Amino acid sequence: MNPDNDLLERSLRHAVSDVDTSPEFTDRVLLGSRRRRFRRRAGMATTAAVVTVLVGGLAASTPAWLAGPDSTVPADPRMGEPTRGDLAKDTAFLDKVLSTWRAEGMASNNLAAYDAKDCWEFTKPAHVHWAGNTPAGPAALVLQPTRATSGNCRIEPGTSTWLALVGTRPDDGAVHVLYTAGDRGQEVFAFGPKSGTLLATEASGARGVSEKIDVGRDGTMTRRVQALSFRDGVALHRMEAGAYVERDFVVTPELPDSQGRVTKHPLYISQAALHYTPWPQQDWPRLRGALGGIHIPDDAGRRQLLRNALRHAGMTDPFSPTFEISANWSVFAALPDGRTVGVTERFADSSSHLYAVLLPGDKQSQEKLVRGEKVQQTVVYGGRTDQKAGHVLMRLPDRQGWIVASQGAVMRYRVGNQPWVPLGGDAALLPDAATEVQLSRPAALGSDPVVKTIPLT
Amino acid sequence: MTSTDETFAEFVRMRSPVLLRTSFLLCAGDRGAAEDLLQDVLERMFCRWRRIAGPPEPYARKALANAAANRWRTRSRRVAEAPLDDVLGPSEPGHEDGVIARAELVRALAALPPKMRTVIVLRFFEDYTEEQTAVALGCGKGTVKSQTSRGLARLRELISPDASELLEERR
Repeated sequence: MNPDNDLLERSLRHAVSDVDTSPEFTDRVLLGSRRRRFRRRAGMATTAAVVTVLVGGLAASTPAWLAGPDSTVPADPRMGEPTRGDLAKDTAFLDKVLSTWRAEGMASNNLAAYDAKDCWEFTKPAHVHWAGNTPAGPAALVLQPTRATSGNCRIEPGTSTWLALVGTRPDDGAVHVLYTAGDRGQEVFAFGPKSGTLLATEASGARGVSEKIDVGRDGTMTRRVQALSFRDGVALHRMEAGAYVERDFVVTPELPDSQGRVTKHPLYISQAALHYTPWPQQDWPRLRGALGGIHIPDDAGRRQLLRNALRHAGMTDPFSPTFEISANWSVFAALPDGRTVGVTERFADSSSHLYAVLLPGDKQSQEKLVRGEKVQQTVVYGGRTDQKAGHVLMRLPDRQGWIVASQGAVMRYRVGNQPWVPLGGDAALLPDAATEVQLSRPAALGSDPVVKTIPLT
Repeated sequence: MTSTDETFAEFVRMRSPVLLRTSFLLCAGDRGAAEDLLQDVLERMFCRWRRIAGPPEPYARKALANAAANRWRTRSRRVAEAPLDDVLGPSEPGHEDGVIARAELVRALAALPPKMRTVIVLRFFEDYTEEQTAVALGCGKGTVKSQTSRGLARLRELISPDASELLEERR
């Protein structure tokens, strides 16, 4: 490379030196991925403008079902049933539901921006399966027979019946198509303000709901399950679990036994919530937290180690929902007594909780833990984390010291009136005798750093 | 959590900050567009996660490069981010610090056609060879050569003289 090319390369790197993802970026990607996977599985990919839309007897072109028999999936028997629910006779509302579906049904599900192909078509008029009042306002379930069209759409050919939830969207107060489910197991929806209203069809297999994780004083996590009550083929449940209900709740296909155990996995309800609140946890993707004592070289392995250690201690979600997300930071340090400590946080019950795992310092034991095998370990619960503080601080048992961390901070500590001892990174293991730690963080350009002195008591 | 979900989540969490930097340059400094582009690429990768052979990061970079050219066709429909002049402080390093000032550089990148900009980013930020760049973009080596040459020439025109005179073609 000549020096001139080096200038361009250096300049490009400088231009991105402070570019970082926003705190909720990972969550947005995961949510979007689940939605996209669902749509792909359900075979929904087309442009709204060119498909044959046949709803409520409104034909846009030759009825598609005349073109050939459907044979892949038997017709949904609910198509032949009368509309159920306490608004089943409200013709004005039913008309509004169907007109909303006609206007938005195809467009709300299309993947035209990515596939740009006509991948499915509506084969019969839509049918309102259920219409009723809910805690989030009037809502209805619309059944729509569809067929995948031929062509390179990367979807399975054949027919299926979608079920769509039409209801009031909190942001504009108007009736819209809120969700569309492509198979029965997906017919569980959370909608309305804070996604606090749960609606499940009997066909979904849902039998119980757990609104949140209960975190005990020792940091253990448990769940209570409430039975869903079905009427007219639909269960409605009002969830009161705080600001992060869409993160906390799970729907189960069975009720727990007398010991509180369930044997089946919770339902995969990836489409259950539009509202998605970022977790209140430290966002420290660049925290330099490897302070020694850890023999697992990669971050993924270290996360697995912590996850398994906490799971063995009963300090993870007992229902292990899909996409359980751990923190994007951890601190590992070699302890004076030869053990290793790993510190991280876990989200539960609308809050983030701090945990320290004290584990053997040898490589073999740590690799066992990564594989899910049990080893001698001690887990210490550090309580709910204070996001506003901008740092985490935790005293370790057996006089092993203090763990302090704050991404981007310059730190130092002292013992009594002795001189301050500077620390190297933005995480550290302090001696147990330390009495004060000082964190200095850069402020706005032209301003002095923000200095915080914390007594260690 | 399924293993697919878990490994994908880990990949997104760990590698997004790095991938965003490439995306930022491909989008010529438009931070919002860069996140949108990366999110789009990652979501697509999730659907194919089990079928991606080899390490996922090179796949993501290649997908980013290809998506950048296509994505840009619709750029005019989205609201642009705040102009860089508004967000960069007065102490922004410049030529005296041995680099081209960011605002100047991304403004010049923005003036390049999408494919030319992508070639420049792959060659000088990702350190791709001409062959690797050609493979990533599905074009010939000759195209990469010509796009590089014209891209550098255009950059020289667009940035201030004291920096532009330092820009030469990579051998």
